[in-house]
Amino acid sequence: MLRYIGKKIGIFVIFMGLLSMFVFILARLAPGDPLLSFYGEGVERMSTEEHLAARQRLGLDETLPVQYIRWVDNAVHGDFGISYKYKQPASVILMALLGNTLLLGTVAYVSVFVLAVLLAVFCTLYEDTWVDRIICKMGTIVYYLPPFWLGLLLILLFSVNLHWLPSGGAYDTGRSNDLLNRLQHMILPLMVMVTSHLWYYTYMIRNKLLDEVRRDYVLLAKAKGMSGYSIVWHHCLRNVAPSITSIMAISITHILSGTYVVEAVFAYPGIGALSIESAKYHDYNLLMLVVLITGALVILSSLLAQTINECLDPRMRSEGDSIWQKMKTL
Amino acid sequence: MAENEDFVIVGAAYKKQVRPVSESSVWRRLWKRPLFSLLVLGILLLGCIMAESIMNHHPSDFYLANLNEPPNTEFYFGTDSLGRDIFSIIWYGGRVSLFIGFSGMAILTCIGVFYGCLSGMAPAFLDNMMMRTAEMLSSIPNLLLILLILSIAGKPTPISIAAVIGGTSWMSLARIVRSEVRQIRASEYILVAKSMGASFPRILYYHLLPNFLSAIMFVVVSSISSCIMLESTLSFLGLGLPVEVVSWGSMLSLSNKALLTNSWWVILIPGVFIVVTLLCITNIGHYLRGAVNRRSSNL
Amino acid sequence: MEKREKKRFWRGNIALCFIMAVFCMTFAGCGSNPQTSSPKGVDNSTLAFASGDYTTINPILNTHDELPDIIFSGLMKYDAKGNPVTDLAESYTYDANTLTYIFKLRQGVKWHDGAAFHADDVKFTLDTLTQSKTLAASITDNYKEISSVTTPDENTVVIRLSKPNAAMLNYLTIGILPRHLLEGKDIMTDSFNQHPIGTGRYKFVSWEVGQSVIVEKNTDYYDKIPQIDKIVFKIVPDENARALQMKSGDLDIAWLNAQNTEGFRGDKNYQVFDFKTADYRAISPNFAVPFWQNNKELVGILGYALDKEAIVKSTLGGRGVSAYGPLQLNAEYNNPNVRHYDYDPEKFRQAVEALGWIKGADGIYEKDGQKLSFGVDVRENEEERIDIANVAAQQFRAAGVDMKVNIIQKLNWKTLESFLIGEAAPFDPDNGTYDLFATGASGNYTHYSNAEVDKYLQAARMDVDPAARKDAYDKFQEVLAKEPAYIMIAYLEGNYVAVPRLKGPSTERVLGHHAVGVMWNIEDWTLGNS
Repeated sequence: MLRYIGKKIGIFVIFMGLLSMFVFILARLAPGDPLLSFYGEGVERMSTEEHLAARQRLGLDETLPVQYIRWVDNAVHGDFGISYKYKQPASVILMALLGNTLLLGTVAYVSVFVLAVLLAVFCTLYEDTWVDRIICKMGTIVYYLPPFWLGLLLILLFSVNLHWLPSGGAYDTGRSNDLLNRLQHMILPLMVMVTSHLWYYTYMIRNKLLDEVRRDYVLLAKAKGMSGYSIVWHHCLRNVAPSITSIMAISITHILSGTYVVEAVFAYPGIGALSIESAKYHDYNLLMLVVLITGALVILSSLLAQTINECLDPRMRSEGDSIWQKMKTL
Repeated sequence: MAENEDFVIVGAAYKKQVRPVSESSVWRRLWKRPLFSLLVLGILLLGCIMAESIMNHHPSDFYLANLNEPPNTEFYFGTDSLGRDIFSIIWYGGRVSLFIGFSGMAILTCIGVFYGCLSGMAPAFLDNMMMRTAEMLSSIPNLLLILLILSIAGKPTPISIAAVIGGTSWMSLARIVRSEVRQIRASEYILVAKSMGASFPRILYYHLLPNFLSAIMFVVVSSISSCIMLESTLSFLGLGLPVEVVSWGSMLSLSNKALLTNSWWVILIPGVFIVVTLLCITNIGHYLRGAVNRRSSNL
Repeated sequence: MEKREKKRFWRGNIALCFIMAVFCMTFAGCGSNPQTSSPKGVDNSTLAFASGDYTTINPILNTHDELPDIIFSGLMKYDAKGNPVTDLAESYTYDANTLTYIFKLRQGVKWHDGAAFHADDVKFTLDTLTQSKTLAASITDNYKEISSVTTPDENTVVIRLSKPNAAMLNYLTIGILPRHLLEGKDIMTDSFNQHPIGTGRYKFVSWEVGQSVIVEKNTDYYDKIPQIDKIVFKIVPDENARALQMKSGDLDIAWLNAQNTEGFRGDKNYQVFDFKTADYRAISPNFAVPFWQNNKELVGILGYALDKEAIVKSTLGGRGVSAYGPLQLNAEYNNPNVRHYDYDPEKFRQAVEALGWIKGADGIYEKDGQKLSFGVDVRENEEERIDIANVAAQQFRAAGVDMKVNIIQKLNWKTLESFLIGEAAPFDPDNGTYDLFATGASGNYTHYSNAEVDKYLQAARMDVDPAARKDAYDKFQEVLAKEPAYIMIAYLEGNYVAVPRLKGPSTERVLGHHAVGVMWNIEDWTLGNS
């Protein structure tokens, strides 16, 4: 058991190291002046010497490997550097916004999968009837609505014309602890997140279930007099559970990507907007932290899903593949 | 069905398995084969290729006397707040969008298939490494990855956007190819080819590709849609093509401006074009995946 | 069997019911308490203001923002006309012979944290501006004439200049920083920038990164105490999002672009304040590149080829005026009798052909094998400038001039041919002319050089007598119009949309770049009941 945990931790550490190196190099290869985000427009009027001195102060004059080693050294000690734009420790900025994204992401994630499973079960029970067909068609159409465009239309309808919901933000000023208020602000972003991801996962689960209900044990259960509903709900669903957990693990990146767009449309303060901004303006330290947090989240959830799967189905343990490789189809 | 015959008789009121007999209806057959989708997509493609002869205004001109006009006989789809003719730029923009969609698909297919085959044929250690690398890449949210690479690539052009989108979206295809290859790599004919000294590209082309082509067809075709979609998202976030290059995505992101001026045509028309195109492509993809030949349900 | 069918049907539908229930709840959530989210009706003394994003609140780092203006105060401030009047200073004297200002400070002024305000604070701030190594150059440029700052006693500040500078009082409107909190700290990164303590009309309360900054009125303020208790600066950088939030009732006042403002005009639920701004757009040729070195005389003539009214109408939604000079909106110093270069294609044709240019086969003028062709650079994030450049390029093409629009990420003044520039000179005429047009001045990126312009600008800067200054600026404008530095296009309007219960914003003041400065008379603003 100890070895098992040790191996997982090892994978995690190696992974984070590679990821940080990859992003570090990529970010610094990009042409553009990080000083611009530190000093603003004033940087255009700087003389060459001033420019050099400023780079030196921010430690940008060293060679790439030296910069990277210094960064790792500081990061291990919990210091992720200051954000050039905000001129505060990057971790402070991140912490202020991480909660918002996690809340939105988690609620979206849970609702997408709860609804996806329910819809998939429903479609399986009514396979090839008109309800199923309508849901399939509608699902495909909704899935292909560009999410930002859908978001704009929702704002137009619910905020501008009906005045039912706020058009943006995460909560009203000074009410960050008011859950109801937060929920109210999350409804429109959630609607977009759910519509743009729901069908993709419903379709996958539905296909799994459709294959499952053609197994022989279903016939047996049927013969014993079980209703279709309880067969699917109690037996089939349990059998496809490992597939669902795998899908759920992979989907974390997708749903996180989704929050990027949604945060931009609804002016929702979160790490999605933050990471796009920091990449655009070369706010290196902030960018590194955002990517690492995202990466850590994804890896951890993948490891977690693998562990769950191994509990659900011990056969999984024998092969060395990661959960990502085990995903059979899309 | 056949082997269950006896069983059905036993259960008196058991669900009757009546096959629909309307198979032969013309509309139904058209629906089964994506003729309709092909037709619409064909019209769109043709329109975009022949944009010059279709459009009745210059796409980059500003008709300053006709600002924000609703669709009329002169401007079929109306004009935006700077007096640009939407009808003309739709075709021009479609050219860019479809180009990005198709070439993005081509790039990601090449990378994905090659990487997947290589990984699938490689010894376990290398295979594991390659798959872990791909996994790591896919753990970075793709928008962020695209943004990082685009900022290195300099000023974005349709080609660079397509390359970057293709170059960051091949991972799931590679995974599917790899698992297909792993299933067939021990087959005799591949062993034979190998022992006869066939090179990797040759094995890939003659022995592997034909075997998993149908398995990846759907993923490949629908990746056109996802490339078009990604481009429009990038444009919306202000990370995509420069403003002077019009695509459906950038037109859609301009609809942001039109929200309060009640110019529905600026918002709706590019959206309808993009959604219809994506649906057609997906429909064709579904068909290519082959009819899912499922037995009838046991439920 | 029948019964089982039915049961199955119901069981199957539980899923559906659940989905329906979720959606119903979603919509019920929408319907309930719609009022709490809007600032209306909750607290009639909280004002929600749409603001750009802030990273620091510090008068010497944010030289052009609303918040530092109301949290901090300077020795001087601007009145409605944009002239400097005393603020933290009670009175001042100037001795032209020794180039010395002596400021007597107001007594009993307190920092927001309760500490007393001293002359030391002024010295600290000005010393930071003139000596700090970490500050970027653009901020410190205006203060380089200050040779020493001394404080003979707690309430007196003596500022000596090395050279005369008639605009010095303007520059002394900069907010004063508290020495007791900042001495020995790095001004760029200190946490003070996120927890500012000033002497101004409003006190900083809290800041949620990316969401909002809250300030409340300073009841210990030394002058007229504001009436609105609390101002929430909601951070909404996107123009369209601002308009949407205004429509949905989340905001009380917001600066919107001209096109979005149109949707609010004539709506009785809103009022619109149309401010004049000194913010203008022009095409600025870079005289360091060969094309403009050889064709200086074209700069003025090209103005004839631009239909500025049409540009204003399309790109600015009609909200703006066509421009002819950099001091056009300066009530005191503008000289309207200079040459204007208004749209006149015929005049353009004559003038350009008189210079020896002949239209080529492609409809573009040529001379000695060289085409009348140049590029104009625009930064990618400046949408309205891109629009202006594109429309101008189309008009130029019609007149036989090939102007290529280059959308770029970063300016490179060494190589670019021309730039779609935005400048503003809202207050003293020195600020926005000298640094742009004097040979070798810090803001003269375009390498414009004209001996006469230099002479008059220098004279105007040195002279403190208003009549003599006016004369010098009149002559400067005449010379500049004869040999223009920019192809002037338009002045922008600053359109603020507000709820009707807000009273007090006054359009008397000409605002600056990005319509900043609307809160200049915030102490007079009131919010009625909704």
